[in-house]
Amino acid sequence: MNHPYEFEDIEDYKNGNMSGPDRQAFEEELAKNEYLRQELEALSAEGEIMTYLRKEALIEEMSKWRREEEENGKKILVAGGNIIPFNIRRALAIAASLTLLLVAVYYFTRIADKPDFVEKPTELPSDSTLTTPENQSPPPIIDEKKEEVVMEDKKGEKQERESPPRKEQRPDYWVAAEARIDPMEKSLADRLMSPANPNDTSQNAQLKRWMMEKEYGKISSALANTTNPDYLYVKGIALFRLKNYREAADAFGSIPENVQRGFDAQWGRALALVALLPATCDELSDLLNGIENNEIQLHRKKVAPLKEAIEFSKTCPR
Amino acid sequence: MNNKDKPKKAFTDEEILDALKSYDRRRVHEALKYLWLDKELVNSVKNLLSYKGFDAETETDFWLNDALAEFDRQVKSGKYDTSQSGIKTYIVAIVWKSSASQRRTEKRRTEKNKLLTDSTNSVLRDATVDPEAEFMSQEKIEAIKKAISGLTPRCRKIITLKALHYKNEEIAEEMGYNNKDTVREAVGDCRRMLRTYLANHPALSKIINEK
Repeated sequence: MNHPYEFEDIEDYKNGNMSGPDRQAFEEELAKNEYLRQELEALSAEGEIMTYLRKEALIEEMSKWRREEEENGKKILVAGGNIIPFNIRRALAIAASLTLLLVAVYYFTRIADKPDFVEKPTELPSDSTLTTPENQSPPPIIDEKKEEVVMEDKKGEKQERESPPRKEQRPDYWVAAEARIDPMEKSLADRLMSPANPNDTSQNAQLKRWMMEKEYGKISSALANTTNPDYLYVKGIALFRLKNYREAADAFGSIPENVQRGFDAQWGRALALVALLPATCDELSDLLNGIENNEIQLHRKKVAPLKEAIEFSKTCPR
Repeated sequence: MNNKDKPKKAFTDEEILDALKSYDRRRVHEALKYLWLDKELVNSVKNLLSYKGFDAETETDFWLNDALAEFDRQVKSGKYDTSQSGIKTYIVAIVWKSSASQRRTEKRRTEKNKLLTDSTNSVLRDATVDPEAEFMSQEKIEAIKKAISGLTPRCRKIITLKALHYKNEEIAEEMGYNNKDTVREAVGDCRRMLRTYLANHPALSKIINEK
């Protein structure tokens, strides 16, 4: 069907550029002319097609950007250069060097210099050995191949015993200190409180039962206000077991040096401070210096655990 | 990439919008390239695609290019509202929406294929038509392709260049015409050819005009 309008006229009508009378005439024609309606529809469809073509072309354009990038990258490689810019390469090289340096420093300060504190179980000398140097046990000899500790007894005969299960090696100082508290606790249970009779209701027997049952919370509560050096020692161990190292150190520290457990208490305090490293570096150093200057310590200079504790103090900042 | 193609400055959202709304294709090109090179935008799209389970390394370009082109379309049609979100957020939202839509379609297709495979019903097995929503969008694209196929390759290129806002002088240079007047005539002829084809195929126009 024919009509008097050009494409440009239809476009003007669609874009609202047609004047009032012309617009009215166009709409009258539109109402009766099917082909004019189809051309108007075609004009709208043309806009959609243009949009589609534009989108496709833009996507193609952006894909071209990527291809150009890749080609430029290849050109740089062919030219003998490096695809990574020089300043980034330099930064990467510096970062790699620093990483290696840090690893080396870490190794020498933390691993190479540090004795394997955790994996060398030893027993703290019993009460009798504390006061009689002649009876003290020689330092443990570590047989690393068998992972067993070979201890020489008094007659020089070798006795073998299994080492405790290998613990995870980690820099947490309390792990090392805790390994040392075991023999102290055992010695305590054996010596301080004579056999735990179930019918014995005395405080000693009760404390021993709690100790055997690892009820450390009950022990520390029961001995909260004690001033008895023996009980302070028990309290110190219980608090240590509860990982209340600060309170444990205080409990051990409040035991006078001149009592029977004086040195053991200093040792317990040292272990608690070890567990709190590196925050307690100064306090621990002072304590260890004091122990080294102590006459009793001279008798104990071969006690390996103490040396190891001193070694630990080397990790403190200077 | 050539250094001359790199955007020389940082664009603000307002500048990007001004460029996209202009009919200066160089400005449009520069603004789109600025977005295309924007690390924050690219990484956001990558993270989104990874989150959606796509292979971000290989598919980021596809989704980003599509989203930028769609963003350009929405700016021109006035659909983008600056008060609702920033440009980069909006582009990531386009990727989010279209990738989610694809995931849904894939899921439906997988479930349907499973149903068809498992079914002993021959009617179900033979059914191949996808859900209507998916079909409609595909149908529109097919109609557009059909309408374009009615053009000569030369006309198609001219109309594409026009859609990209090439000036007549640029089209003349691109197409090898002597002057811009020849281009004006060629563009008019090609558009008339397309409209005539569409007017003679009203069913195609109707599908293309459907929202």
